Amino acid sequence: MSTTTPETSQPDPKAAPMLLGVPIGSPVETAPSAVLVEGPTFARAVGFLGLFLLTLGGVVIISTRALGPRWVPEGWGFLFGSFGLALMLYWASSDNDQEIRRAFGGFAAFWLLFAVVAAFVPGPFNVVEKTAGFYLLPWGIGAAIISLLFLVPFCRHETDELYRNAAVSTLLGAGGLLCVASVAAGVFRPDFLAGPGLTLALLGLAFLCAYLGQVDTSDGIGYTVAFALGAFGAVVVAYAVGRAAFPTLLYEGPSTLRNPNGSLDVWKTGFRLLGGLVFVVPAILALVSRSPMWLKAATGVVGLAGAGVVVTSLFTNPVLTSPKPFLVPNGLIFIAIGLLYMAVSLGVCSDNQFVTLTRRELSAYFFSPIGYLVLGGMAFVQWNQYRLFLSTLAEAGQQSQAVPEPIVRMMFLDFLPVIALLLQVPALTMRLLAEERRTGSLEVLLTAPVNEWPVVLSKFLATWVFFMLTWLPAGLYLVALRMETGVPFDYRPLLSYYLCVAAQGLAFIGMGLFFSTITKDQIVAAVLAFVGMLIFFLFYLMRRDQLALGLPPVVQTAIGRLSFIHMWVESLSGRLPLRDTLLFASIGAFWVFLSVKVLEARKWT
Amino acid sequence: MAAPAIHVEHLTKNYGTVLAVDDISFQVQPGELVGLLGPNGAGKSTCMRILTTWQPASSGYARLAGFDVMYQSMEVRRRIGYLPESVPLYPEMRVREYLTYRAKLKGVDRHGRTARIDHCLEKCRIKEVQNRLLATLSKGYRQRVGLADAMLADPPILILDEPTSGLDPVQITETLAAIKEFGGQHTVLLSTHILSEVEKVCERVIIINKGRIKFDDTMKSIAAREPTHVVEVRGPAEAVTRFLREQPELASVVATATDGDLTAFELKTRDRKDLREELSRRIAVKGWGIRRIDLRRESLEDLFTAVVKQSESTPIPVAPVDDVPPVSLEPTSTPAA
Repeated sequence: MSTTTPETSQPDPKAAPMLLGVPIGSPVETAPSAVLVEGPTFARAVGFLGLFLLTLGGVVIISTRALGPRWVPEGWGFLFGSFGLALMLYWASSDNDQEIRRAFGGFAAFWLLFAVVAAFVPGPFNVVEKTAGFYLLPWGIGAAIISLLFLVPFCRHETDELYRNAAVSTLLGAGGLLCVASVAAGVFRPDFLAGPGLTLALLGLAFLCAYLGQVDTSDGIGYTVAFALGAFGAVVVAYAVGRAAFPTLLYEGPSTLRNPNGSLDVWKTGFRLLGGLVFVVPAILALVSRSPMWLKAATGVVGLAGAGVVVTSLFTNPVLTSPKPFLVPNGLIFIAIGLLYMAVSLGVCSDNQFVTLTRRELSAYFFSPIGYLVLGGMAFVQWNQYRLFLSTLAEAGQQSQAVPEPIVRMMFLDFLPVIALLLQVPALTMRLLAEERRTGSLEVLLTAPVNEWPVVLSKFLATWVFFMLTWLPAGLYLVALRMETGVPFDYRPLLSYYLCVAAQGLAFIGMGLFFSTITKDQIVAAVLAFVGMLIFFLFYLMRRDQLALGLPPVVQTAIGRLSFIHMWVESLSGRLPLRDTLLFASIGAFWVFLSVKVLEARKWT
Repeated sequence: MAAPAIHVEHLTKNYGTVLAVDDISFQVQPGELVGLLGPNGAGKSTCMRILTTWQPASSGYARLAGFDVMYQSMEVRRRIGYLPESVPLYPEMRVREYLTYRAKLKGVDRHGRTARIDHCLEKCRIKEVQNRLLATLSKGYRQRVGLADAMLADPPILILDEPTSGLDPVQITETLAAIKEFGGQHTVLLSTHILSEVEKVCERVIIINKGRIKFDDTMKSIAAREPTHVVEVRGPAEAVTRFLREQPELASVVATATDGDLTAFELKTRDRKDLREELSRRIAVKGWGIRRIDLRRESLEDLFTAVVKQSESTPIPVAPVDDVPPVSLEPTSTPAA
């Protein structure tokens, strides 16, 4: 420590200018330990193995198709091919070398070309029997997915502006074209939508997401594209809702509002006016609040249209023919596509804190192993159910027994899905707030201008979305079954089942979130959540076995209503248990409210 | 005078029976660079947690930029940048991604956001690691990411809790340079227990110990304090002492060490003159050897040691329970210049 006044001397005019004893301008500190690039050897070895497997798979498939069954079954050929492609993708994303990455760019271009050809050309074999677009599913779409997967690493690694812009523009062009074309085709050809249409719309979204990942989305063209995507989605939703509701309203007219004895039915009139309000209220809200101009204009137009239709339907019925059913399935598919586009656009464009937080939370699941483990485990469980389901159907077919509808209930009403649900909820929710408390990131989060409500709600919403995603494979298996066999079965119980799972998810995730909020230790949170799930299971047992456990009958009935498996049974039988849905949703809201209060409690003295 | 940037009035915080912060009061004017100095466990982090609205005080008031931390906490949080001691980051995010996320949370406008993030990356010298995962960064880099995050929204008040803990000397210097640059236009309150940092960067020092402010003054006035002459003379001890005591300019003569015929003295002058040459001439005339003659200014370390040693003799304050008489109060801070 210097304790003497330093000797004064003439400063050396040639010395470098100093700041706090450190020469300015000279690189005092270099970057951290140089990232020793592993060298592409390993990636290339893996990639070549992948190429070998791809070729092998290709040979198997082609020879089976051309010459009949060989001693390696065709399914194995597809397996080899997919695995080979995955390994090659690893190589493409690791290797930076110019020749390699341009080769992969060419590879991606080849697959894209193949996809386009497969989509439109009926093919060189047996042209007479097939129409254009015969090979769209699965070859066209499969090839397009492969080309997308290989375009992304090419865009990331490519340094030459020309090639990079070409690839990025391809992503944009393909995505935009697919989105618009699939929706347009779905509008003009209703049968197209349910299978190929939906797939193409999702594929277009995937291309656009890849594009948005490569550009800066806070400004410029990236932002415009994302915004346009959202606007397009909103138009699709508005179209679907309008097309579903308006013709029916205009067909029914004022006559259906009257009772058989001629007087005005108050309830029906009330409901119709309420329906009109649904259109008008957002417009009014947008007008009075500080929303941007485009929002006011859009909601205004929609509100006017809706109000106009409702008012017209109160006085005349201009539509004379009964409108065809549109809502299920086409309407719902349009609404789903539109909402998905809007959600992606909102996630990219919006600077709203809640949206930002939700986006981060959702992506956190994909950056940690737990998300993939839960997803993989649920996919496995649902695969197992599908396998058993198929064997039951096959057996019934062999014995020429009719399997009563709804057949989909056999997929879900079993031992394993219940266990999976019991384990999945604690696994997903244990880290939510416990980890933030433990690392101290909650302190940094809540000392930013963020309230507790957006923090808790964003975690809740992100976890719930991921939870719903883990239940998706079952639906995909059933879709695949429908496409492969071509035999229609009643899928509406599936829709009501998903609604039921969604509502129950709200309650379970809310409970898990609350237990994560009250402790710093993730294990404690997980165990508490598991105990909570076991208590719900106990409710099921109590109702099934009529266990009194010394409780008064009122309490027994109340507990019986909370049995989630009985709710599954009801929804899979084709009934939509609306009352139970609302009950579970309100339980979820209760847990979320408690979680927020726990966070706020740190400020109570 | 403009409203103080930070205004703390009789702030008290007790965790159960432990009194972490005991009736502290201070003000920080806009643009000041203040160092909150204190040994470990003094209450610095608690004070900062209260100022950043993370925890409520048990009693007293704190106002940042005119807004009360308890009742207008959202307004306060809009105007501060906070860096806690353990820089908590999300390990699975990358540096740039994390800063973009924080910028969105803090409401940095979309149009200039990329430019602002680039600016903060350069200021904190983390541009070369902007695409690395946060989990792979060393402590120094994590701290810099935290600093970049704190200054991201250009807040008028910056509150940094031990911003250089765990850094190597080079990194410390560079971080302090960045903080010093940030001051002036902005108010900075940083806490540390390393004195040299405070000396280098801060204009003002508040020493806090056992929850109380022991010292609050600017570095200028510390430097302007009266220096002590340190003299080592070879000669008969009593004679030298008597001679020095006879000198009219000297206010006090204290003999500190004796080693045979070598005696060390600490002398205080009546006025603030540098008497080294005059004294050395007089002593040389007497024929004694001058081993050392020095002008020692009271350093921060001396102040700090004195303050801490003084309070070590007093018992640890405990929150007053009903029938227990309160701890005797000792003299608190010297008011700021």
